[in-house]
Parts: sequence; C-alpha cells; structure tokens
Amino acid sequence: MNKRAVGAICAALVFAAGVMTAVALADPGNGQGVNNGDTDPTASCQPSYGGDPCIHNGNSAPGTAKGHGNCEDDRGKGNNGNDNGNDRLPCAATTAQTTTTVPTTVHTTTTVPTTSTVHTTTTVPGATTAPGATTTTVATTTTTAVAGAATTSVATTTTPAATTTAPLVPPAAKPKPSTTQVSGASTPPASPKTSGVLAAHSPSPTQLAFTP
Amino acid sequence: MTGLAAVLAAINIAAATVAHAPGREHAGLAAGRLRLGARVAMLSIPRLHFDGAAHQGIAAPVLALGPGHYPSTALPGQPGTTAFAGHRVTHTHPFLHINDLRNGDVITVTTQWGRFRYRVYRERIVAVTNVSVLSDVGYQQLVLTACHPPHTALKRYVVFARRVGRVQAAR
Repeated sequence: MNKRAVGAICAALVFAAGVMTAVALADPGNGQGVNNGDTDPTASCQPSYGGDPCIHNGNSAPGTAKGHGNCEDDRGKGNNGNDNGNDRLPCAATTAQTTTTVPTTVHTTTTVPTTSTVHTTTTVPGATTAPGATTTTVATTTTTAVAGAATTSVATTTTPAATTTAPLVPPAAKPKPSTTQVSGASTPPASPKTSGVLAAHSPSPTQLAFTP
Repeated sequence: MTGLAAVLAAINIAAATVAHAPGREHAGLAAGRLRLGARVAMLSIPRLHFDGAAHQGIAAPVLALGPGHYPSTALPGQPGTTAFAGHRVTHTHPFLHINDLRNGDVITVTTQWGRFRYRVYRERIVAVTNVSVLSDVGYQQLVLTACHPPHTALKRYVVFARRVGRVQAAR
C-alpha cells in the first residue's frame, strides 16, 4: 500500500514538472512574436510591441513608399526590425512633409518649411513637368523646384493666406421711411375773414385714410 | 343703432354745444379741438347722389358712419385744405362713385357757421402714402379721398375742389 502511494506521488510530481517545463519553453515573452501588437505577418517584420505594424513606422525616405507619421524610425515605438536605422533625411520638428504623386511620371517630393526657404529639391530624370501639379498652397511663400532631364522648370506659386474673416462693418442705419409732412395743415394761416380761428393741432397722417 | 354709434351721438351732442354764431364763421373753433366722432358738416354731392353727415376723424369707427374729416386739415371755411375720406364699397360707401365726379361739379359743405360751395377742378390717383394731397395750397380747397380701385386699398382716388362763391348762412 505504501509503495503504491509513493509511486503515485512520484508520478504526479513528474507529470507536474513536465507540464511546467513545457509552459516555460512555449512562452515567447512580453512583446515578442508577430501576434503581439503586430499586424504584419511577414518574417522580415520583427516582433515589436504595443502598436502599429512595424513597416508603417516612420518610413518616408525616397524609394520607400510606405510609412507615415514618425520622422525618424528610432523615435517610434517599434524597436526592432526594419524600422531601426533607416538612413533618411533628418527632419525638423517644425517641417511639414508633403509627398505629391503626379499621375503621369512625375514624382515630386516637396518640402514646405514654415519659412520661405526651399528645403528639398528632388530631381526627377526624364520627367515632364505638369503645370500646376506641384502647386502647394500654404500661408507663407512656397517655392518648389523640379529639375528634369529634358526640361528644367521652376514653378513658383505664391498664395497668400486666405482671409476668411470679413472686416467688421457696422450695419448701416435704416433710413427712416420718407413721409411727406403736410406743411401748413396744422397751422393754416388766418385769413381776414377767419381771424381769431384757432389752428388745428392734430398730427399729420402718414397715410391717407383706409377706406375700401 | 350700435353702442358705438350711441357713444358718438353723445359726442355729437357735446360738440353741438360749440357756440353757434352765424356770421362769425366758427370763431374759436379749430379742427384739432373737435372730439373724434363729432359731427363736422353735412356734405352734399349731387353727382354721387350723396347727402349725409361727416364726422371728425378718419379712424375706422368714425368712417363706418360716413365720411370723415382729416383732423390735420382745416375745417370748412378755414384757410387751407379741408379733406374728407369716405369708404368706397364698404359700410355706407359714400364715395362709391367718386370716380364719376367731373371738373365743374359742385360740392356743398354745410356747417353750423355757414354753407360753403366748392367746384371740382382735378382728380388724381395717388399712392397711399402721398399725403401731400392734403397740403395747403394757398386757397380754400376741398379734398375727397377714397380707396382705389374699388374693393381694394392699393391706391387712393383723390378729388380736388376749390371754394367758390360767398359763404351762406347755414339753414
């Protein structure tokens, strides 16, 4: 009886130890694995944690069509994979980037700084310039240069900030209705025959009597 | 007789207390002093087959009784313009055929202080706001106004008549 009990206990301990080992080996850890906050199942996208797919973090360099948001990859939440170490142009915190894709073959990247200085000039070999394609409307002066192999044109568009607030103008005073006063009716001159007759003092009407 | 008419009749009695002094021509009386609804005169317009009383005022209750005297104008016999308004088709419609008046027609206005004759010399259709037709023109003038066209109040038909002859004693 004691031997059976000891054997059963030993078997249970062995089973429990095996289960714990298996669990320990199977745990990928915090933030690991493609299923943890990562919607990109590709193998090149290394595990990250806590948010956006790794290939969408901060890729804005020429040739990498994807990406939005972070100027530099290493500022993003992703801490591994393709997001780290991409050699793109550093961008200032006050610089707004706009990528404009012309339906033909013009691919113009226009950097619009808050000042009037041209920040980025992109050369597009063999590209044709589409008038108005690179028009950028900002509050300040914007200069966009597109240098092509065949033609070189500099399109400069300056659009002043639109004034949406109309100047306050006091409303004009409403003109008073023109009423013709009956002159003399209230104070008719006295004639010799009617001397001593008091004048009528009723106010003059503004309309003739309503007598339908 | 309606209640309003009774009130106006009482007013007329009060107005009748105004000194009747033939030959003195309403001395001491002014249009502005007459109480609204008081009888002012008797109008006789043969062309319109109208003989009736005219009361003081142009308010609706007064005009419902017959022609009303514009209080801002002179009384008959006074210098200046004397004007009366009358309904065209409603109430007693005294001026129903006002447009039938022609130049030369005679209108007689009888008051307590005398009888005055006027002769029509002009007709006009004016805007409602054209109160200049009530203005003093430098002589004794009688003006009759009524709405025009009939059944509407879009404009006013105005008849001008100038006093003619000597004042006669009221009978």
